[in-house]
Amino acid sequence: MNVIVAGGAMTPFNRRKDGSSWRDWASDAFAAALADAGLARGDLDALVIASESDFFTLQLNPAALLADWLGVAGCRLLRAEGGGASGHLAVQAAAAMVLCGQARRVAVVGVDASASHLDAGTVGALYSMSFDAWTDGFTGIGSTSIYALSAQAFMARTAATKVDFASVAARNRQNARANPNAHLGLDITVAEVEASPVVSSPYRRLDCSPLSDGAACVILAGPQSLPNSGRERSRIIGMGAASDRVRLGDRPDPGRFAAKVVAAGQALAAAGFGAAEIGLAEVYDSYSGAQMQALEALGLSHDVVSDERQGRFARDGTLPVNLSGGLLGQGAPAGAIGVAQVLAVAGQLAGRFAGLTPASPPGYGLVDTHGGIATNCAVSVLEGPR
Amino acid sequence: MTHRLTLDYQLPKGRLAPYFDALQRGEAMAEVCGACGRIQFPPAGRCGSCGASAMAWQPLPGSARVIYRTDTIEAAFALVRFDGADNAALVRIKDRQADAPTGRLLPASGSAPGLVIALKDMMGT
Repeated sequence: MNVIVAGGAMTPFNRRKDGSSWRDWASDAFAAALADAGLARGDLDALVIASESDFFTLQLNPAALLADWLGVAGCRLLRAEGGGASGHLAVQAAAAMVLCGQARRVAVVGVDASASHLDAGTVGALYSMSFDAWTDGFTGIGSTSIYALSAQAFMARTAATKVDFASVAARNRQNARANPNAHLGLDITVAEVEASPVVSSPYRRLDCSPLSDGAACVILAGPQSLPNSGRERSRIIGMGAASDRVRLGDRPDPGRFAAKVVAAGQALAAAGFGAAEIGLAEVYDSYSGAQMQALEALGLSHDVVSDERQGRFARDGTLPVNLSGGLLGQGAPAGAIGVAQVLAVAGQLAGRFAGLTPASPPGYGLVDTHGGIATNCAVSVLEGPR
Repeated sequence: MTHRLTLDYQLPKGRLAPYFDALQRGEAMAEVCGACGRIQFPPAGRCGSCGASAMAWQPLPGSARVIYRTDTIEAAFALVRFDGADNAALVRIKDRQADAPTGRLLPASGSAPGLVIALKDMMGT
């Protein structure tokens, strides 16, 4: 598998107060990604849009609207939706188009207005419908409480503590300080995370990712469809996707992100090597504990509690994780998240990421994204420029 | 621009009608797998163990034991196992000040018929 990430760009992720619209964000990310790839609109065969919910944009059939707005009407269109995994699933759908010959060059645009269009209470009520709306949703439970219950099961099994979670939350915010597009770069300590207000025990406000606005775009292509064969760019060399039971209560272990085990296994098998070869990762840290649960399930750590405490996931550790800041620091406009994660790993491997990068880029990186609570999971493996 | 959208849904209960109708009465109606006997509450329409779709309805006592609990500013929720069920359920705890390891299902109310339990001590009524 060899699909080049020929270019990409993103808008800042934040809560927009400047009067710009979600159409503007999509346009800006798309135009900058095309320029980054050195391509023109007419070079594209397909457009894949990732947007989690029409409740946010109040635009049904957003791919049709955006194709017109972006100036590529006429090409093949698809909208991918998988909750928080929408952006990553869109990238995988676009890569599949390239691999099967349906398209030579595809733009993937992820966009959502998760912050400024609706008040936080309404967004929370909508998100509570993204599990089983008729059972979980009808109790009025919010996503933070569902993640909190899963985290407790993880803590009971692994002896991870609230301090470990706070360590993740503080580090990702510190990482985000170097990222000009990040929503929540914060100079905070573990103690400050632990002192923030409880949202749903054990999670406190700073353990939770923010609601963000923004857009991200990547351009994918086969090597034969690019000038210089895309040699200077990173590439997708493995993809996996899998799902779990939608309700925590129907899972054998509500603290284990079992679908990530499958998705990561598929992606690594396609890449042709094991998890030990992965040198950096962007993982789906919608909550601080979820980052540890993800790293465990992805097979990137045999003892995630010990590794967390020994600094393995820091920038100078052996497996830097979420150097972008992750969802906790970079932000979380749902449809754009996975696109931005792919953009971050592609850039980090190529030494051209705007935020933190490892002192010496490793050969391979992993991207992990999910919708629900690790219900709809996508994992991709990227290789740096050869 | 401001724009207001009001949505009033009519949601047919479909094959889950026995579950929702029982919930209105405060009764826990579980489904039993015709192939392997697994008992599921809340129901899932298909056996979570063997995958069979031939499920029958069977009432449970409505008592439950708390596995994990989380508290917010204004509410408390728990992952519980209803007595007789092989799976677990997410529930709202009626009185968030209460703290006990077990509880009982309450009748659903309002437009969102969710699972709500009242906590009680094992030694209680």
